[in-house]
Amino acid sequence: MIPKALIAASLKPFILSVLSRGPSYGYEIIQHVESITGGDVSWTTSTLYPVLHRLENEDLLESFWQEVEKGPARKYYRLTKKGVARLETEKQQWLSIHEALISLWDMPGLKPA
Amino acid sequence: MFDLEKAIATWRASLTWKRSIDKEDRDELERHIRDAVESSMRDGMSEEDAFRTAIRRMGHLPQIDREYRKIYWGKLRKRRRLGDELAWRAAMLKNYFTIALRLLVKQRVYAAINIFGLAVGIAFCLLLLLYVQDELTFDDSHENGERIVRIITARYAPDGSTDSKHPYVPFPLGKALEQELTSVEATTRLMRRDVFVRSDGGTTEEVVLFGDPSLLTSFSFPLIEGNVDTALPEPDGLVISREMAERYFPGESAVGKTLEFRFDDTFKAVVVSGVAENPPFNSSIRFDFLMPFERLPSEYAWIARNVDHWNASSYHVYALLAPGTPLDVVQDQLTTFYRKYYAENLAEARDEGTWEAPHDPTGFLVQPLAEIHLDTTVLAGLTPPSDPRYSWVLAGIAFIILLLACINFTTLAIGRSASRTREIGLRKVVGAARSQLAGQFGGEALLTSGISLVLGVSVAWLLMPTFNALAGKELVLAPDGHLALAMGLVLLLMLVAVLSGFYPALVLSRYEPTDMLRKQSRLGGSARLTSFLVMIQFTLSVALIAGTVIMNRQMTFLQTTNIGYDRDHVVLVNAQNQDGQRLLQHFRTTLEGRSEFEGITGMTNAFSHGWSRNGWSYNGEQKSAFVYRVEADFVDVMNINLASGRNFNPALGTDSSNVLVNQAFIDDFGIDEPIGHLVDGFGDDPVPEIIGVMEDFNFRSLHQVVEPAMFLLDPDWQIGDVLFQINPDRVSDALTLIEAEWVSFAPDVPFIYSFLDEDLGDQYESEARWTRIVRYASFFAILIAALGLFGLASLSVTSRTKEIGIRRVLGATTFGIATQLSKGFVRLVLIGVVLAVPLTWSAASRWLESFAYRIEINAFVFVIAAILAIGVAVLTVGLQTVRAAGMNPVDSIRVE
Repeated sequence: MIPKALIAASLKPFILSVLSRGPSYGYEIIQHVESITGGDVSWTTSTLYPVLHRLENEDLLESFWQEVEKGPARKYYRLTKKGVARLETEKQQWLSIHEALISLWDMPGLKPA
Repeated sequence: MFDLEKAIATWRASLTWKRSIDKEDRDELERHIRDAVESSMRDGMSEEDAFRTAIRRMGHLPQIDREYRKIYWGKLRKRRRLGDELAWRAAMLKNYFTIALRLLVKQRVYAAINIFGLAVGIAFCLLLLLYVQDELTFDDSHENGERIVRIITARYAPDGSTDSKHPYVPFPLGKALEQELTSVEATTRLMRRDVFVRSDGGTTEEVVLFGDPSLLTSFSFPLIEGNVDTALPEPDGLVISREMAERYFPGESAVGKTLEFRFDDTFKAVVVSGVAENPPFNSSIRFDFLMPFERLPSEYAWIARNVDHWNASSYHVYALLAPGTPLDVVQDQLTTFYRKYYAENLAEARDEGTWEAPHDPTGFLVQPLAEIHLDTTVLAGLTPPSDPRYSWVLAGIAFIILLLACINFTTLAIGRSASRTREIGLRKVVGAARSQLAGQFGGEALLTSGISLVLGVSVAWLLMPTFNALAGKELVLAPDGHLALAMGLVLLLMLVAVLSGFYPALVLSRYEPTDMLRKQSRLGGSARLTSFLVMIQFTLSVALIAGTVIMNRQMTFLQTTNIGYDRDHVVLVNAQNQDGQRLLQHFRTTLEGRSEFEGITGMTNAFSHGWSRNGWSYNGEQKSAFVYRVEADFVDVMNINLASGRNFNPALGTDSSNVLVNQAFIDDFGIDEPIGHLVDGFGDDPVPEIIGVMEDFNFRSLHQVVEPAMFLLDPDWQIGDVLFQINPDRVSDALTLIEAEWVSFAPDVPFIYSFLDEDLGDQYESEARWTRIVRYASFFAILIAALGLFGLASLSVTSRTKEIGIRRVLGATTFGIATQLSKGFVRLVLIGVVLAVPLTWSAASRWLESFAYRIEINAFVFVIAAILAIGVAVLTVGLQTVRAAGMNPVDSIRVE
């Protein structure tokens, strides 16, 4: 079980990373992250949406509505230019922590090239 | 059968209660639920299970609200809906205000209790604020204030301690200082006299300040007419205050106009040479009429005799120091100066053996202007000094009264909250956050305190004259220039609102809406707090009442205790530098034996007019005693008891070297066989012999224990006061006779007399003042506490109306019900009484410790206070309960 604090900290890079592969919506983002982490990282809905809105307020994301065949429309989010740049920064930060931990654990085999 | 569409619609509707979630969010969340349900159903889950899972993963409504609330303001900014938000807030404010006003009107009894109590508390605090402001800004209106000092005289006891300090110095000191001390730039001599002033409008007695023209240049007394350098020409200038200019010369320029002054027996015309702004009330130097100091010797013969006299201290001297002079430099110069001018006196005292201690018996000290007002170790000069502790005690009392009023507010608000549970529940259901409810109740508290503030300021204005009389001040409640006051008021308002509204706001906003709507809540937890607060109220009230009783008893004790001599119906006439011996002789030949008088005698100075303490080496040991020169009939006239030996006998010439001493003298000097004992070391021509011992009597105030005293007939000691023991039935006749004889003896000196008992009473003036202040405070304290109890009792009766009805139907008596309902309250008051005992005991003991002679605090005091407090409590609660119990049960049971 991954502690809440770590999950909360990784929320932003996860969202930015998922959206870097193309526009998506809240439910899909949750599903996507759950599937690649095997369910280790899972968010309640009420935490995800406000964070999406905050990133939108910070101009990292933009949103648009798209009609679906059945039921109400769906709200999609995609990265802005600023969001793409922010993802780069986040990536560097996570990698440097990752590398530091790897070297401390003496697991050079896992060290990225 | 589960209906997905209906379930989603219901769930979506519940989101609308939260203001943080708008329509777009609801659309988005609905889509999310639908996606989740579809996906789960594809995995084979039933529609109902799929929905429940999706909802569960969504989180509880409060949790969703909490998360969305975090981004609420950012979203608003993004969507530019700030205007809507403000409009919404304004609407809420209007609603709060309407509800608050409606409550005030609907529950006017409680509102009145709250507002009255708070207004009184605020009025007290406001008066105190003014008092403290006045005390702290005393004498700070002078531009050169930091360079101005007052010269005072110190008298030292033979053991080196300071015996007394007084602000009077000899006539020639001022000019000599100015000429001889390099550190002194200018001196200002001052003296105050009562003078009759005559104008077209009639004759009145006024106080004239005589001062050197430097008063206008060293100090800052702004002039309206005239110039500070020339406004007071010597010797016949006259500067009057703006108030006097407006009184005597309304609507015209006063300069050049004439007023007539009677210094002795004829009126003299004096032309006004300047008009000054009214000196501030908090200045130790104030004047309505100012004349040159140099005029004094030509108007008063006795002052003319003082012009070169270094041993008659009746004048004030202030000095303006050169910039940057340290006080110790001035003090050193002053000490050198003193030794130069008093060398002869010092040598003489040592030669005669009346002073043998290594240090000087007296000396001059410098006292900075800023310290004059709060230094109570120096006797009163132009204005009496005040003890800074007064400010603290006043502050404490004002705060206690305000606290009592705030407690009323808190307990009543908690008590009434039961009737507001529906409102609070409804507000919560439609989405009010706890902070909003707390804000609403805080706002209501602010409204009530705002009304109280307005009322309190009015009350303060009304009480101002009474307060001024109590505190010995002339404060005014003027809006001009009182920025500090205005800020103080706002702070006070906030303090009151927070003190009184904070806790109710927290409590009221805490409950769950479902409990509130079902009216299940009894608000049980706060009952304990209410009890506690009521107990505190009564503790403080009882403590103040007990304090009042103790102070009253001590004051009565001071006035009535047997001090060992007759103080009633004794009139003192001060010789005012006339020849006391001749004056006494004059009174004896003209008045003695008349039925108005029971005795006439004289002494160096009456017990209320100061003392003379001598120190000498007695058998090689430093000893000191208070020495009074008296007349042979002194002991008889004053009704002093002799413990052993005999009184003076005027027929025996040898008695002029014999002395009477008191018991304390015998004890202190360690004399076993007093009669016939020689007092070694006190003069040697011849050595005085003790002929009688007086029982100890309190010749000083009852603050001090009786110290050694010696009474002698030595004609070398001047008589300063003549004492008349007068017939109590002929007081006014006696006074008329004395005055007539005074005028025939000294026509040019004003007749000054006083009653010994009143004089002695003045020694306890500040104690009497405190007794009055505490009396007022305890009255208001018990009144506020009783009002609070009244409110609580009526609340409790209202909520138990039905119960009372049922009890009545089942046969309970009115008395039985009243007892049942009052029991709880009376118990609280009893606990309050018990807690008040140690509180009062310690405070009162400290106060009483300042008296060498004092009453014992006994249980009786607390019994009185307890009876009073319980009486008030039973009466207020009883009235309510008897009314309720007396209602027709048919009506009370119907109450919903």
